[in-house]
Amino acid sequence: MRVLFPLKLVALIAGCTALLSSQTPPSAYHSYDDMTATLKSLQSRYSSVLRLESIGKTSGGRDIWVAALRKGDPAQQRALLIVAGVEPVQVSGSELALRAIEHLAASYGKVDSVTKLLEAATIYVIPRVDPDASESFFAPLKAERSINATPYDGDRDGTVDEDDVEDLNGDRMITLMRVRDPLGDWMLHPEDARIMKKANAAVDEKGMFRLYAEGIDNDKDERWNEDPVGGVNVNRNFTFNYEFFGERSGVYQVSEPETGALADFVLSHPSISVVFTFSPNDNLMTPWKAEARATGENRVVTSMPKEDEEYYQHIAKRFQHVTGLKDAPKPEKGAGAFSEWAYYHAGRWSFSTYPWWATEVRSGKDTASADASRRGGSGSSATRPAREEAPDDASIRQLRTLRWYQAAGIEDVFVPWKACRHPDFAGQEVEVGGLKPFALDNPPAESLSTASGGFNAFFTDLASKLPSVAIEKIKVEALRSGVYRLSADVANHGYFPTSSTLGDRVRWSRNVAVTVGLDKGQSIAGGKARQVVGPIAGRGATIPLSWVIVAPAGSTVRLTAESPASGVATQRVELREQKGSRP
Amino acid sequence: MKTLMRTVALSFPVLLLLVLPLQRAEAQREKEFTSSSLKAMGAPNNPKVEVAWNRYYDTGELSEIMHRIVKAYPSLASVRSIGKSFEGRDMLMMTIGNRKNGDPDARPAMYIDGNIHSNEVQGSEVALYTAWYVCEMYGSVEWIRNLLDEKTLYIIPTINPDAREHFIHRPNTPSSPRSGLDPRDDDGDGVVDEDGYDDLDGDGNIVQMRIADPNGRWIADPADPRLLVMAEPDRPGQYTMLGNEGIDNDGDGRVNEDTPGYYDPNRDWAWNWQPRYTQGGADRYPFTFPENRSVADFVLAHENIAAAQTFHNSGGMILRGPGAKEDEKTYDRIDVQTYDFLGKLGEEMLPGYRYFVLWKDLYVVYGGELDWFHGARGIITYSNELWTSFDYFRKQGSDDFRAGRNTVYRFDKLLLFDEGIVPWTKVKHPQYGEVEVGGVKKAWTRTAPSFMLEDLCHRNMAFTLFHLYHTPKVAVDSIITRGLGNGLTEVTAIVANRRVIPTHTSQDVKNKITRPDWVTLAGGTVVSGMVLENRLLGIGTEQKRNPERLNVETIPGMGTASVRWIVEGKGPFTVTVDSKKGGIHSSRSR
Repeated sequence: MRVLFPLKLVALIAGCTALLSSQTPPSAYHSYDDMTATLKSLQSRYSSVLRLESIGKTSGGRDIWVAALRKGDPAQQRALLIVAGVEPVQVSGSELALRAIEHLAASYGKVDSVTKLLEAATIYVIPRVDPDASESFFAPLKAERSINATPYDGDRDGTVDEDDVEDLNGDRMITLMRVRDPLGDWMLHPEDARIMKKANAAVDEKGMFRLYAEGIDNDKDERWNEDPVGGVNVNRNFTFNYEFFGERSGVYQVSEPETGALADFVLSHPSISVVFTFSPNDNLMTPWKAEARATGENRVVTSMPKEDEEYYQHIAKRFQHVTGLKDAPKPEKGAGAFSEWAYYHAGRWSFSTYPWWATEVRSGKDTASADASRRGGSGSSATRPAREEAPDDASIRQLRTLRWYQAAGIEDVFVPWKACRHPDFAGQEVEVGGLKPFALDNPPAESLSTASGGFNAFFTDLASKLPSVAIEKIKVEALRSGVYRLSADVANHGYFPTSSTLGDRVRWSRNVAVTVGLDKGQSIAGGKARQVVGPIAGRGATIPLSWVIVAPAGSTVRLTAESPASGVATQRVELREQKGSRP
Repeated sequence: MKTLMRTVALSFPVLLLLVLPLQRAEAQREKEFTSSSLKAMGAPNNPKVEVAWNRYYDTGELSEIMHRIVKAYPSLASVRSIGKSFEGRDMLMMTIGNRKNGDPDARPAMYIDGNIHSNEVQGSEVALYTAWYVCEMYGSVEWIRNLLDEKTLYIIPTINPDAREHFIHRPNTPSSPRSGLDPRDDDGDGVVDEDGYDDLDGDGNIVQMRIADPNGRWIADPADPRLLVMAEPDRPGQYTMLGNEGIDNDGDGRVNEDTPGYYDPNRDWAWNWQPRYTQGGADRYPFTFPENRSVADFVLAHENIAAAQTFHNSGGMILRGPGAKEDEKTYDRIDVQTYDFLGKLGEEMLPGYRYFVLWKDLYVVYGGELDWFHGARGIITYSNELWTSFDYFRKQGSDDFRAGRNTVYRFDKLLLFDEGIVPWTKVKHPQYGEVEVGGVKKAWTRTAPSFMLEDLCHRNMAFTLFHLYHTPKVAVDSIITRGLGNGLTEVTAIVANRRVIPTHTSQDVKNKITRPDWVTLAGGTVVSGMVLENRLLGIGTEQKRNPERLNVETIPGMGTASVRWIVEGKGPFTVTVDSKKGGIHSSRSR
């Protein structure tokens, strides 16, 4: 195992005061080894419904686990996939996925909705896609790290991994570093001076600082921490809307073992018709919209077809209703993101949201305590809300987060700005401080229980909506003795269509195959022995089919309709005139 | 007389013993005619490796030729496998360059491959001819000798070896399999590769099927009865056409709809890759297939590659990117100038070939190989579509990229004496009853006939050798020193690129693909260093960090870059320019 980051504790630098954290890491978050042990013990405890497998190894050599939750016929493979940890900083998502596994496994046989679900479908959960990166949450030096362990020339200067961050003040946390500079872009937030806000020249705001992550310019290129140890953000390495030469996006699409393992898992499981991902590429709080297609020579698809939009709108409403969540941060537009890939390039219904965010503190007393925490803001901040004049989602989120922790009684979530002598900025005023690493996305573990309940309810609801094929209204008419017209409706009783409009164009999801199984002495005079039909819209929509069959009276044929994503329906039909069927 | 007879008789065995080996060797040399009294220009006389360049080779034969070249020219050629194909074949690559003159991997290089589309076979012969020709001619042609002393060729004759074997040894049309051989479900029925072509007459060629049918609309062409034409609107016909030779193997009412493969290995590259609903032939994601991934890994690990060439057939084209209009921005003015210079040179060397921009002049391609080389790696890259309608009768007729049926059949009659066409032959079809099969053989129409193949190989090779010649070649042009007093010297160095391709294309500079060229000073203590934008006016940008080794972002084609140092010391100073794609050169000041 390679060491993920060099512990260059540059506490030697005079003038830096070490801030000793009184807070130990949240005890209930699971490190990779803890998570693996928990998954294994869950597997042995719930062996009839839970199977653990590795979908591949990370660049650091760890197994990427998938838990398959299913009871009953393995051929009945309609499936929902839940993915966490594509954005490794969101360890909370990984934690919620782990809790979902335990919830589903433990509820089988106890909670009717879950029992019914696991007997009719499979729920796959991949709790941590990039554990190499997430381990920094559990390391002695806390640094938010979104990249895997592949050595990578981040600044493309011909040298690999040569400019990582450093802990300048010896607090075992990588926070921010600001350098006073009248030409800098950053200013103190008028509502809370602890927070740095990008100055908006359009409203006459003036910058006072330059802002960097805590560290030294190790490679002397006048850029700070631009080529850290390790390499690629898995959530920027998928093919949809991929950014070539982007920051941490990799040398090409799906260059990374984690990306390849996840893509191959999805593409080789056509049973998966719905994917849920914990990521910042939210579309459950702010649903996707169908936009007008680009015209001309550009054939690239960047927006969904209009036909699919209502499903995204509806599921978003369900999610907000079931979880009661509000105040979500704005979605991040993905560039090579997994959840967008899952819909646009893998053809599955794909939903995503942040695992956790600080909601606005609303009650009177909370507001008061939040107000009390504001320091150094300009007196006019009340009449000049920054939000209206210059929307700044990042700082709004930080403000909310600080208020939330304050209201929750957690004081030391912020490292106060303190002066620090820095070898790269001789004679300049440098301070280190900022929100503690991981605080934005990861509350204390015990605070996740409410979120976990909401998500678990949503997962059960989502899985109950998978497409489900049936054969109905079977009718046999004797055209004369020995010649029969067989007709039937192939129906879909799930909420989701057997494939989305976009998914129907993707090779990896086959639609519903309908076959007529014949015995010796039977033949088809009209219609096809095997045909693929669909997509069949959900909620009881049907496609009518008919065949003309030459067969002895009283013989039977087997009618089957199936697709990997919508299950199998089969009926044995006797070829004999049914009463009242002749007009 | 008698005595003489006896003497001869007695000495005969002795004589025989002495003369026989000589006679045998003599007889063999005569039989092979590997050298002649008057060497024609072009081909080597008495080559060390005898290869006939008028036929097509399977992967085993290609491998044998490669190993024979290496055995004959160990200091110029080597061969190795860069990876395995889907079916486990070695992807053999030759490295060509004078090893006695240093490590070929440290010199400016060109990458050449062929046969990514498995039926487009002759690219392999062109690529291999190139390796063979330069090794054979190294000793006698100075231009080639200089080239191999300074530069390197990486040649992979086939990057789709599995399906090359399939094309050559299994029944195919001139256009199949094109794909690689990783099975795919083409017709979406959940089964892979279950309804390919069927060689009904067992001749190795997949041709057309027709059935005699008084209600059909086709008749035999009166001008050449091997061809079918539509009957006059008011006249009865003779035949119904039934498509390519084959059976409905899976009983779905369609014939030959799920063939080996199918995907397009040339839609599998990581530049503007798009899924199959946007780009037919695309598969899971870029480099799904091990053949392409091996090439990508090799190219990523060899930043000395400044030029690339891939071979396809057919149509007579020298193609450059981009494959899609929205990527026009990746080919800006400076890079287009380089492409145009070499492309127009190619048009002159390859009569009947046209220099084209892929998306604009041919069709739109997302995720194509040449776009990855240019877009992702900043390498000047062309794809040649070998063999053109012009080649048939060496005139620009009404035919477009590919010759029309009439031209093909006329050429077959006049120059191949009917060898290229399977005459209509009756066969039993399990589903249609008695049908006739006939048409163009697989090794014809997209590939050159024997007597034109060597011409095709040589001309295309010559184009690629000029491309290689124009890969950058850096030199320290001059060093100018000026005393500043106090023991300080101002050292100005002009570094030059003696060839047309810049050390970094514009695409490379914009995206920092290849590290900058390093210009280093030794022989004094550097106080300050700058890269000059205007040497004559002394305007430049100081490099504050590490000024001994100045970063020059590119040295333009046939151009220079200048740097300046303030140095403690009086010299002499050594200036070195070190360019990934342009080589290394040092010079000492006086």
